[in-house]
Amino acid sequence: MLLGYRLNGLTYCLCLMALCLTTIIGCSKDEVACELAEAPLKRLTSHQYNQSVSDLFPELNLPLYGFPLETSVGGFSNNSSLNIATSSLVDAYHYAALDIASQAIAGVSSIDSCEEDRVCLLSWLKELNSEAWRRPLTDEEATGLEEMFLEWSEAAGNDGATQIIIQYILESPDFLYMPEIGNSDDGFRRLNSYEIATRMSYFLLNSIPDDELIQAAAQDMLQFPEVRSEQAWRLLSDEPARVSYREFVRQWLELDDIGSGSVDFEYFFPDMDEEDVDDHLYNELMPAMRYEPEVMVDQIVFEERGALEELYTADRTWITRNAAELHDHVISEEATNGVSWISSSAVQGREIEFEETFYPIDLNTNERMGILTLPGLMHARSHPSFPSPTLRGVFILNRVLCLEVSPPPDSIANTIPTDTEEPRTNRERYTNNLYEESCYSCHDSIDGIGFTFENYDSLGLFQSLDNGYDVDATGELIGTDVDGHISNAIDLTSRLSRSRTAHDCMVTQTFRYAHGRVETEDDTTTISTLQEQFWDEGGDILSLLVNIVEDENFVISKEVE
Amino acid sequence: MNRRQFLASLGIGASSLFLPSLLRGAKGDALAYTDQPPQRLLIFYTRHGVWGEPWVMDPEGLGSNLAWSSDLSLLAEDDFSRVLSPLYRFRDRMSVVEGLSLLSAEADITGQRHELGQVHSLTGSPVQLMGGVPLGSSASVDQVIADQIARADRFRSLELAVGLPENSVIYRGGLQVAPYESNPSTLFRRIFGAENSVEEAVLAAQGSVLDRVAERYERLGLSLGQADREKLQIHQQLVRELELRVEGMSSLACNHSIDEPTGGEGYNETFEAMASMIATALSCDITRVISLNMGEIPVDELVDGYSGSLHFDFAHNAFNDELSAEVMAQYGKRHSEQLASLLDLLDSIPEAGGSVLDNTLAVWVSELGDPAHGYDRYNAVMVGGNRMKHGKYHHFPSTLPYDAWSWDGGVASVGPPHQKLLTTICRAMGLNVDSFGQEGVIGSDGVEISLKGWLENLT
Repeated sequence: MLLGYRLNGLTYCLCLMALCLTTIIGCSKDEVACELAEAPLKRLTSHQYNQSVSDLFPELNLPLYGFPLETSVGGFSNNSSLNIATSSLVDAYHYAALDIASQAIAGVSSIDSCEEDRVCLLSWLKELNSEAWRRPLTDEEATGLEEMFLEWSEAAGNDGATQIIIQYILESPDFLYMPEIGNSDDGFRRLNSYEIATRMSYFLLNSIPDDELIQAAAQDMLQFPEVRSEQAWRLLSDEPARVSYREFVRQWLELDDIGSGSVDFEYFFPDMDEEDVDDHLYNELMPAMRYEPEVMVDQIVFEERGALEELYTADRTWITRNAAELHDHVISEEATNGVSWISSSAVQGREIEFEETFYPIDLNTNERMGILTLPGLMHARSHPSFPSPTLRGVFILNRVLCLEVSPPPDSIANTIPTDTEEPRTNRERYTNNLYEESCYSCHDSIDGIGFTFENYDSLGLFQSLDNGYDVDATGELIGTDVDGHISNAIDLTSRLSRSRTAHDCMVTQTFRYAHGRVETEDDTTTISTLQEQFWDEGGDILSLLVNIVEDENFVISKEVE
Repeated sequence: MNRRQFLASLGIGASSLFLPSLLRGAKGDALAYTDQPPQRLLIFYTRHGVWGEPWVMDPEGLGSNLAWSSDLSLLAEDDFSRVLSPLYRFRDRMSVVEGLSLLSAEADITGQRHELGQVHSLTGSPVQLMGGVPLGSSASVDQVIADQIARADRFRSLELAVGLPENSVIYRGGLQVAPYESNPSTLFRRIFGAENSVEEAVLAAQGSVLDRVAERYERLGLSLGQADREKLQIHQQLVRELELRVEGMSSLACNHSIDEPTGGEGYNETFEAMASMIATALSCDITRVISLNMGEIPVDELVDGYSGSLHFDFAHNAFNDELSAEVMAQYGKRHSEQLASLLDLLDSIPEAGGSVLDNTLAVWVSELGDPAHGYDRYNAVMVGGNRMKHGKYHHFPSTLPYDAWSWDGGVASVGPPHQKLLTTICRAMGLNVDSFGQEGVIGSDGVEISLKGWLENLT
């Protein structure tokens, strides 16, 4: 039982909710609810925008619209503290809305079947408006829509007016932002059911609420934790939530870094033609490396209902035929158990499509185990010809353990100076670092983790010899509940899989993503309760998502002045 | 570019759009100004400072201890430094400033040196942390100038990039990062429009729909708390700006046609596409303020036979490794060549008896003093415009008492604060200011060092 006011069953009726709300608002400083944090106004991310318009216009084959890069805070781009609009963003919204509206006129069958009839078109527009704004229109808004229609239809005809109103709907703050007006009193704000539906939907689907969620909102049922839980489980059992969860994984594990660094062709492919290397590397290996972790999460979490422990200790992975060499494997021509994977993203205005089949293969668990040792993750934190134990260590500390290490003061450690002419191994390159005394406090914990990945070269391939010498992948964990000497990456990930620190971190990262903000002191109780639940439930990731939604603090926040 | 594209440009009203000279393919002046041509600003921003040795010049052998100015116009091409030599042909219209410092960044302890430099260099103000992300606490110099010189009915400013620099350095206001556009095609469509089949009556209603949208932002804001309302107000203001621009762009007339970039995605190809759009945008008065944020040049496009990270593998070692020093010298020279080619483009467009460059001040600055994160010996090149006293190389010695970091241990004194450069730029653009950004830093002797004032020899 987290909070004193949590309801225990659907037998409670709405009148009790009112009583409950009074209790919250009237709480004293000793009560948990008083520790609510502020929730600044959220805006759709570019991913959410594209997903939303695609769900609003399922008949249209819309392109992915490009928007200016979002600034990530705490690793997530949906952060509401840094989402102030800019001129190029507003232009991009306008351009996208104009394009969508224009395509709708040509391709939406409901518009076509209205045959330019005003009443029919208006009725459809009101439905669209309500769906896009994720709530019923007020009478005033409905009347306003009719007036706008009349005004614009004079010059542009009924279809023209329809097109312009679609633009209006999509450029309005009610669509682009997630306004939370709710019911406020005495410093607290309790979301109304529609606003709760929006929060749930953008957290779990990265899109507008579906019909059933909106119906639950219409009956004001989403105020009940049990109903939110039930709805969340329903959503999580469907494909859209699975696809949506990739967006969390992408940002949590910084997957966009995979393939962004350079590879030393001469070092890795000395005998191959540069063009062939380029082709193989960037069309086959890199995309497979980029999506392999996503496939693993999808299969383990959603298909097998695996927990965090399974993710960190998986004894199998999924890889494409052309990239199976990454695991020293060959996919048999007869293999039919592949997972078909389609992904598209808009990067800097360029749409990137990827479609491939990933086949399950067993990992040699003496060499590689779990998601954290996958080639892509190893390669992303490497230099062109040698890996970086520092970057690898920092990644585990920041993303997996939430033991945030700040970047070094670059006035101190900005080079990799060595005291020998030519280091024999990569580890030697880094152990010979002429760190100043002050560096050791951080580097002991960073390198203690980073060195355990020395069995993976800068492309992410397994190696037992480095430059002809035996690899030394020993290290040490510091600052966690599973501290101590580590023999290699397998040992490290095994420990992390049983670590309370790592489980707690998973909750913190998911919380940041769910709420679109970095936690504050006011969130301490909420997060530690969720962490307790996650640990008690064996690290079940889907339950964590549901617990976050079920939590009372998902629907109440501190009033922003 | 065809008329259809123009029409579609952010929904320009069809009825009023006409590009007579463009459609006739006429040649001649960019725009026939009845009055003076507009003042324009172009910021050319590069990474990793400058590698001093192949950059600096001392044609008269005056040494480094005193402040001096040397006439560039008397120099032979061979007298120019290796990095600056591509700019030789602009020597009469160019000012070189050598030896300032990012003193306020040195005094700021809120981030890493790259990030601090990226914020301080153009805002002149301290970093403000937001969710752990270091951001500018006030508007950058180009945006302050845009407040003064931008046309309300055109693009207020354009923030562009080549490659993918890690951060934007432009701030519309405190914490308001202006993201850059690095894809030439997206930029083209934003400025010049793209092919589509939108009906002209619908295009004609674009101003009106934006008006309704802006009203909706205002209305919704009334129901929200102050911070959220301010967010919507900013958005609303931008919708209003777009509304004005949609109307204003319809009176655009320009002699310079430009095709949608179709080139590859390489660094040089992107730069060339951006450069030609910059020239068109400035000469056609589509905007008066542009910043071009030059991301790292890939090492393999810089030096044959090498790869790796320019930042980690070369920049940091510029002072203690010959190969790195050579790579960084070529890096500086490449930027110099790129700037020169951009200036050539502006200079090739006639305007009011001169060229567009005569009415455009181009400023080349960086985030750092040197590639090893030093803030002292911070340099700048300024070319063009008509309000700066050009033709000189200005050397400033490091005499302000401040214990600053440097690659080989530290320095006890630094050059004049770069805020004086920012103030100078403002004054050259017609702003009557005597300071820009932060106003003082406590020196190592406990006495406040003023960051106010400007470089008097330049304006």
